[in-house]
Amino acid sequence: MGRVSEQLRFRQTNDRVAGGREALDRVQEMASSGQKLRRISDDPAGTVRVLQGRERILNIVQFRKSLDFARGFLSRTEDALKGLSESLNRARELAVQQANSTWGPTERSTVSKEVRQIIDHCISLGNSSFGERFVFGGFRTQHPPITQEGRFVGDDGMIYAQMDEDIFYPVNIPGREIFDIEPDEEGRAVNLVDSLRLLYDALSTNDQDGIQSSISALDASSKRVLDALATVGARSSMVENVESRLNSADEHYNRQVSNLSSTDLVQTALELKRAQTSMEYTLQASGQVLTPSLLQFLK
Amino acid sequence: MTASLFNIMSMGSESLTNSRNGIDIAGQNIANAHTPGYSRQQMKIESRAPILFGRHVFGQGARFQGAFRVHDRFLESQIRDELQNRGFKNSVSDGLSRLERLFNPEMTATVRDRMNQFYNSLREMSNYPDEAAARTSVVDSAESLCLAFRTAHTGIEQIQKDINLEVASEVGAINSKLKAIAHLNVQIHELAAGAENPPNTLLDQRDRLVRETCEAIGAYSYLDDYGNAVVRDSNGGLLVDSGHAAQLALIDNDESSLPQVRILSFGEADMHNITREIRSGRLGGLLAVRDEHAQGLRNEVNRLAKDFGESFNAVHAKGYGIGRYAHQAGRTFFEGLDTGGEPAANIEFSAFLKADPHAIGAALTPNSPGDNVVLNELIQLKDKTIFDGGKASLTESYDRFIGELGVNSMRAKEDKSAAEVVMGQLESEREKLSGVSLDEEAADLLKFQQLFSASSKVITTADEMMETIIGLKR
Repeated sequence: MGRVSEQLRFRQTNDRVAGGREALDRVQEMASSGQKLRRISDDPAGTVRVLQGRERILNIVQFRKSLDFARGFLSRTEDALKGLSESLNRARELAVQQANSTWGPTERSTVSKEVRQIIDHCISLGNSSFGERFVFGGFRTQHPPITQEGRFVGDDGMIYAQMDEDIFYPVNIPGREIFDIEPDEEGRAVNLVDSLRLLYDALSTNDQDGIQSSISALDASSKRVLDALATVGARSSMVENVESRLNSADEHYNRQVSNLSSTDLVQTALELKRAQTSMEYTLQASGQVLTPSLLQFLK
Repeated sequence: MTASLFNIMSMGSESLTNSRNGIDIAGQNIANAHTPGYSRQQMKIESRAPILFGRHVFGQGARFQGAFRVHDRFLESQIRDELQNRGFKNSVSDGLSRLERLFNPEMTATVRDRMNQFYNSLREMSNYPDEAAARTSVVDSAESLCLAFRTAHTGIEQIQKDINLEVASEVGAINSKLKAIAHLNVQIHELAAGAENPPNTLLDQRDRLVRETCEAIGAYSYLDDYGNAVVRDSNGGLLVDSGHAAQLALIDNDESSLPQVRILSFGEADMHNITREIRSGRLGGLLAVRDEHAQGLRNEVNRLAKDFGESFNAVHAKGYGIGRYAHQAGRTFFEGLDTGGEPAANIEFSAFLKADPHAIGAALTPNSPGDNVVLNELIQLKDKTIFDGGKASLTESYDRFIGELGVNSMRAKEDKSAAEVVMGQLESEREKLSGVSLDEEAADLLKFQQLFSASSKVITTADEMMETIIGLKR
């Protein structure tokens, strides 16, 4: 037969009530904060995953900004390249038209004025800017990369932007590829502005052969612009791919973080109810157990 | 020949005294029913040796031998062992939960979050290296990051300082307990010399003090040949021997503000450093948290600040600025890493770069405002496995020590509740054996009251018989 001493009786009652209170407190805290991860020790591995998920979510916000930047930069570049392409096409049309012997010096002189405008337009397109940066200048973003003579004075810097944790992608087309072409084997410099200038010079001097020969130079320039356009198009679609990847990652990590750190409302409500009920019973039972003693029955 | 009536009378009167003693002991037990550490007392009573009247042996009644406490020495030593364990686990668990609070998942100003913000500001600047606004936001977030490092460091240091205060109060309490035990040794020795039964309450008091000492510092105790309690620390160093008590002292001669616990044992001229030797009890737990867990964390944070700051500086030094600084590279980004103090406490964002963010080195080639090559290299630094001896990246290293802290704290909590359970069982055992039950005492009261009435009846009966005999003469 085990003896039950007074102190034992009271201590056990105390322990039971305290245990019930502690459980109730914990559930209450979870219910009121909506968080089940309050301390690292609640779930160390989960905490680390929540921290990582939270970082990933914050990074995605930043990567979206980078995507916006890339998108803007690329679309500026694309607009400029399209303009260049149209201008070159117009120049080629004029060249083909004027290469015919039916036109005389007066008409050719008039057309040469339009070509002059095309040259100026192409130079200003080459100096297109995004925000305060010249898009074709490489890393030299603060100075117009194309001089009035049509020479390229930028550098070959490739600007990489981080679009996802592991993706650094170039966003610019250095202008050298379009505007500054090395002289070919016959020593002829056929860079973009020069190819237009060949036409201009031939028109102003009424040189039909010169007009004829400028067409191939214009074709070569056009091809370079179209190549660059293709590159830009490929990059734009890459940007869209990354965007959809970020969207699904965002959703995934938000769900993961919330699963790990937030409480399930229904379950918490049930647990709260259970803890309350058991607390009430403990108190009731304790009240009844503590009072009776033989002393009460001795008269 | 029969027993004389006087004999019956004296037997009755002794029994009367015995029943009064019984009531007295029950009263003592009832009064102490809720005294912590009190052991219930039992009356010891034995029949007197019979004597021979003529050819018949007659009993001589019962003799009161005294009150003895109900006590199990083996259980007591088990309790002492478990108390050391519980004290240790309790303070480790409390300390770790204080430490982990600095890194709780709901905190958003931690080194990890600030690092994240800092890196995102670098990413933004990488998109717009030539814009002043992007550079200013890098300046802000770099300063926040440095502040987060310093805050983490201060937080850990503050916990260590708080623990120092607790250690000091524990040491004070232990000293007074050791003195009290030594004093009780003397008292018990004096009282026991002249009495037939032991000084129960003093023994209880001494046991309780020894238990408390064990829980506080981790000690073991035994009785010497004269019944004195000898207390030794877990390494065998004497804490109490008969009437002498050793004294502990805190000596702060350490630059990292972690005072040592020293002991002055009697008969020794020098204080002996026992800081590393206290491995159990609350004091052991406090010291373990202060010198291992908190200090370990402090070292991790320092190492992280230093490794990160230095590798960042090394890459950043390659970078050229913009504007006036377009031809200048080699600037330091984070300062205070090698001033000899603790890197996490001293890390500062360069005042020069703060004054002119254009000097932040983003470009690999001079005079290239759109160049972000160095910035991109700095961004990639975050994922390079250059921490933990080339095994982990920056955040992996952070997550590792956070995870370790969490696991340690979780385990400490489990250990603590396990120790509570074991202790609860032992306490129950002790209470079952030594605790006072009011029901039992009530029954005893009744028993001795009846004994008292019966004994007086014996006396009155003998008295009446005596009257009868005297009446024969008339």
